[in-house]
Amino acid sequence: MHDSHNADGTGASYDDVTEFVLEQLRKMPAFLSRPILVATALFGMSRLLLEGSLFHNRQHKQRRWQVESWRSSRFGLSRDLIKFYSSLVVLALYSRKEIGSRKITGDG
Amino acid sequence: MAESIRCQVAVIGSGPGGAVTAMTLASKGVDVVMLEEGPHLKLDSCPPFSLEEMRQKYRWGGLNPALGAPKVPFVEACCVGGGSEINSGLYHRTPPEILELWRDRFTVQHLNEPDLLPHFEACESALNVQLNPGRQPAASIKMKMGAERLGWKTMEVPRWFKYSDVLEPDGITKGKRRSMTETFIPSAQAAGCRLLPSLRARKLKRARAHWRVEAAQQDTPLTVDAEAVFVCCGAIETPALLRRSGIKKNVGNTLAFSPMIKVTAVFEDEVNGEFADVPAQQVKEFSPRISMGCSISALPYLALAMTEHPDAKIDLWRHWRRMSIYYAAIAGPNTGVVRNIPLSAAPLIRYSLSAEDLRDLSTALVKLCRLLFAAGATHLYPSIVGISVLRSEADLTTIPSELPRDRTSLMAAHLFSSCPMGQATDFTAVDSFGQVHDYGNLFINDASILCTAPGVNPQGSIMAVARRNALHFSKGL
Repeated sequence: MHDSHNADGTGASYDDVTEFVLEQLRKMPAFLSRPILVATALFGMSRLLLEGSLFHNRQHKQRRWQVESWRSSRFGLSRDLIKFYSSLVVLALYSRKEIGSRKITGDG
Repeated sequence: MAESIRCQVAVIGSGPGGAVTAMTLASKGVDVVMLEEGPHLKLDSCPPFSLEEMRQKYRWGGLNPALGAPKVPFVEACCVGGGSEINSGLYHRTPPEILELWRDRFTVQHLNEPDLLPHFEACESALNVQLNPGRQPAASIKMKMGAERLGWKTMEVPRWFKYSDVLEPDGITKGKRRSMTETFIPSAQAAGCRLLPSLRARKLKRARAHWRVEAAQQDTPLTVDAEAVFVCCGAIETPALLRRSGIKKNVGNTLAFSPMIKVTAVFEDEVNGEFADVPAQQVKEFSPRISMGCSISALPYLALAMTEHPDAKIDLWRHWRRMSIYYAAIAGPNTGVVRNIPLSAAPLIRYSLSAEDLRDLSTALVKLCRLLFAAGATHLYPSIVGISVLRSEADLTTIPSELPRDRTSLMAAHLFSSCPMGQATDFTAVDSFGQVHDYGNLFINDASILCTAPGVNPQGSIMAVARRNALHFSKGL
């Protein structure tokens, strides 16, 4: 799913974000990660018959459209898949500039 | 052949329940071995609430939600010190009405306020439980202001935190967070307790006069033979271990959460910052059923919360200092179930909320939004997919009276009650002092035995009950 050199068309690298997502996938219980991986493969191939390309080979604009259509799908599993990945990506992305010595907040 | 260790008492788990149990028994001269599945890390091995903390200290990477509609994500620690290493250390004693409920409905004996008082006091002293002597964080001040304008009861919650005596020029008081690795665990070790980190207890077996803990460090097996065992692995792993060991009566059938819904508030002035302290203000007007407080509001968490509102298009880098996250929680029902799955180390957790629970959560959310508007919030973003931004009290009518199961994002910070205590053997797992019914010298001494959600941050209850039970056990030796 991830093109490390040109994921957003800017040439920026997101290897650290990808690494975090994969690490979390490895850590989570197998009975949850396996269905997620199957759903991810389905997501990656879902336009193959119609348009002849896997997700990671499509243009950035097309990828975005596909993500948004799954995000707003009437199928809960599709929405959950996008929510799962977007949550991890957002956490990792916005942690890049988080100030490490921050002493803040909590529910516990 | 597995290496074997012998001791008087094996304590499995080193969170607030296990650490207090081990320290209490070791200080009475009992030969204690404490097993902990996670690694032994320093409290400051990573910044609090960071990605690195998720990597180092969270069980399953923080990704094993309770399945149901809606799903409820929660976080458990897996390291020496357990949950005390990753939370904010907000501290409450058990409310008297909750103790009364546990006595009346679950027939828990010797659990009056005077019974628990010395245990609360001992734990509070060891952990430096105190109020922040300096200026409150801005997010707290907003919550207090909103509550006072509405005439609602509100309080600053004390924390286990060692504040400096020096007041900084800006009114902030610095200090050092406390946890089990800073307090009870070193005290237990000083009293002779042997700590075995990175050791997972797989199964318990009764062997004539003693208990055998079958454990493994990675793939290297190790057995611990003990006269008595205290299981203190938390509300999920404790019932999972007992059920793997064939002990199933009323075990893992009544897990309770405090499900919470969050709201991201935008103010005109700054309420957030790089060095903001933990906002410890809570609203108690509607407790114990409903509670409200401040939540994690670091930039990554704000960004995460705003993923529910992709149309908001807020420039977080520009505005995050004017934003803070708040929560409204209910004391959830005991409808959770913990079950082991063949070939999986992780248990499956199911949790169901009734229509009434979702209505109460909606009520709690509306109250929280009212408070935040009273505090001066200009925009509110509840964690419900598809709901528009709320700009005034008039917009609160757009919040469904029963939160939609498929669009509401809930989460839980605390778990309890999977093996409730009491003398009513038909629906409790352990007696009034934590001994598993029908299993001599096998005890549970953690959040699992709290009968219901206490309606407040539970660590004070867990530690006081654990100390009470450990002392009761030591008197019988």
